[in-house]
Amino acid sequence: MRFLLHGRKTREGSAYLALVGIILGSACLVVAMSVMSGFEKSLQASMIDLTGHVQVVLRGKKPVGQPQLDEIVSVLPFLRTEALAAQNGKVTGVILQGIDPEKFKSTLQLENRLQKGQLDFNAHFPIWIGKGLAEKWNLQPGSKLRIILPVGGGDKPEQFHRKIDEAEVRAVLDFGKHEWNERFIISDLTSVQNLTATGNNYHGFLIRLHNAEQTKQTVEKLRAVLSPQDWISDWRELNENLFEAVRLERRVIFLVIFLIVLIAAMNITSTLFVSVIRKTQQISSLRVLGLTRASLLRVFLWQGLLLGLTGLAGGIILGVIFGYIFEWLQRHFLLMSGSVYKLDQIQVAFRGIDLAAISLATVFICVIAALIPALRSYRLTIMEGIRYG
Amino acid sequence: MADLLLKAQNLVKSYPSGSGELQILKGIGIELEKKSAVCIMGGSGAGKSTLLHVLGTLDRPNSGEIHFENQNLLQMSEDELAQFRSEKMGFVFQFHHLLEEMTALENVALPLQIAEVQKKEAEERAAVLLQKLGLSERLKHFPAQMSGGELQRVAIARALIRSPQILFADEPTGNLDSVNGQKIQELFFELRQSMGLTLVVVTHDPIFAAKFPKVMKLKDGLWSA
Repeated sequence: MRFLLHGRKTREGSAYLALVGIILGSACLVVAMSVMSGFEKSLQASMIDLTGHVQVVLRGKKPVGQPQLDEIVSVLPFLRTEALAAQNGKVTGVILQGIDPEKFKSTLQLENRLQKGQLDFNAHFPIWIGKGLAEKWNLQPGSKLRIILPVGGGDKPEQFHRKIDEAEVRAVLDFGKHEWNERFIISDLTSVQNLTATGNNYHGFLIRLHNAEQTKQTVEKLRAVLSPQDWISDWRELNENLFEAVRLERRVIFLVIFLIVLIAAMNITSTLFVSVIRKTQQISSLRVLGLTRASLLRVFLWQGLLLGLTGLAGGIILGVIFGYIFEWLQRHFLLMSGSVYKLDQIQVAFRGIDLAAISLATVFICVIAALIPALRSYRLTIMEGIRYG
Repeated sequence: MADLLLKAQNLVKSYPSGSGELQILKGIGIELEKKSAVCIMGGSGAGKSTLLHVLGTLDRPNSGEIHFENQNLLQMSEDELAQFRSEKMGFVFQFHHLLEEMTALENVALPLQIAEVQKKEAEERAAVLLQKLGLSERLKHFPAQMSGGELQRVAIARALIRSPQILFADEPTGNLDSVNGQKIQELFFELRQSMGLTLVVVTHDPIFAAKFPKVMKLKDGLWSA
């Protein structure tokens, strides 16, 4: 097997070009898949960090106490309402969410999202805002803004009135999603209850589980425990369409970029094919010396496999480097418009299943690419090389 | 008959041509005894090389039989024949057919490596044989760095490295000058003596042919008197 791989043959330029093609093709696949997976992972992380794994909105009879299941790590009551924020003549619609200041740390993971200020509620009406609103209105920890809540008392227009309170920014966070950074405001449960005059009521629970992948089963169990009118949803269902679109896009992008690998693999076919034609005499000599046709087939398939594996290894290394360069560029330049893509920044995620799919597909196509010249060499008769030697 | 090594009968070989089938061998046979030396002569197109290739199982005849020590060679598969050929037969052609990317040593070691002998052992055995053929200074030389006579000696060494019982040579001196041709001719007879080879040589050279105890002449695919 060694002799056909031996010597100047492997140093031929066309073999190198075929190898470079495989490296670039698989590197493109690695980058594209890692960006897609990173997008999904970033979106998932921002959802879970901000709303937990499962959200329950109580619509039926209020339960006595909080739901308790083995899968549940913690339960955080919340009160959410739409309001207006105003400062210096500017007004914007916001979603105000009140959470229990004592319990939020065990359900939500906001520490890593803190950009400025402190995660505390030490003020009359303390609020945490997203970085989008902070940048838009130039807000810092300590800045004041008004929260305006329309309150409806009946059917007649004069029965509507407004409640206004002045809130103090305690922290600026990166909530992950662009929309949330612009509109989401967190405060302590009591302040929001006071503003909405709902007493000690709350809208539902944010629930954290031991395992993010067990949400479906837990949702089913909660449905059995809670009132049928209650709305229960996990982080995936809340953005089902988006996650489904990402999954579909991932498959399409894989297939499109895989065409690069396919074209590169055709270079392997042509390189080996030319090699078979040019080395007909040598192949015949080897057959005279006792090389079987099966061995010859193995030699060419082995070359395809070797080129595939080498190209894949180079492609994965290059892809990982490109991925980290992409992350670095994101930190320094605006590469993605959050208003279009929902996220301002995405982390790059190298998932085992993506790498396995890329590896299998690349190596398979390289071996198939080598099969055509291998079959040509298999069908050569000894006399084709000897007679005209 | 106890000394019979190879027996071929009724060999017919034809090739497709523009006007139909071109018959090269027209039902000829041959018997080769162990350690014998036979020279096959004939004009161009008489079928000498084709006969040699068919006897050496490099090419299959359209019909006929070839027995080697009671084994019917034409009933073997291609891969069985490849295995058989590498153990029992050696071939030397007019052109050396050495692999250009390999040194003389590697070329001679090649048949052993195909037979899964370890590289170190294969090269040790190849070095011994090359030294025996007077090429001790050329072990690490590539074919492009050697003369025609040296190349043909390397090709002979490669044909003999697995100690075959029979050596087929097709115009082995046809590409050499008279001095080198003479040396190669002497080498064939020395090796036949020292290794107990059966020698079958195709040549146009009447001086070379005269050194053989038996000369057979082919004309239009049939033996002539």
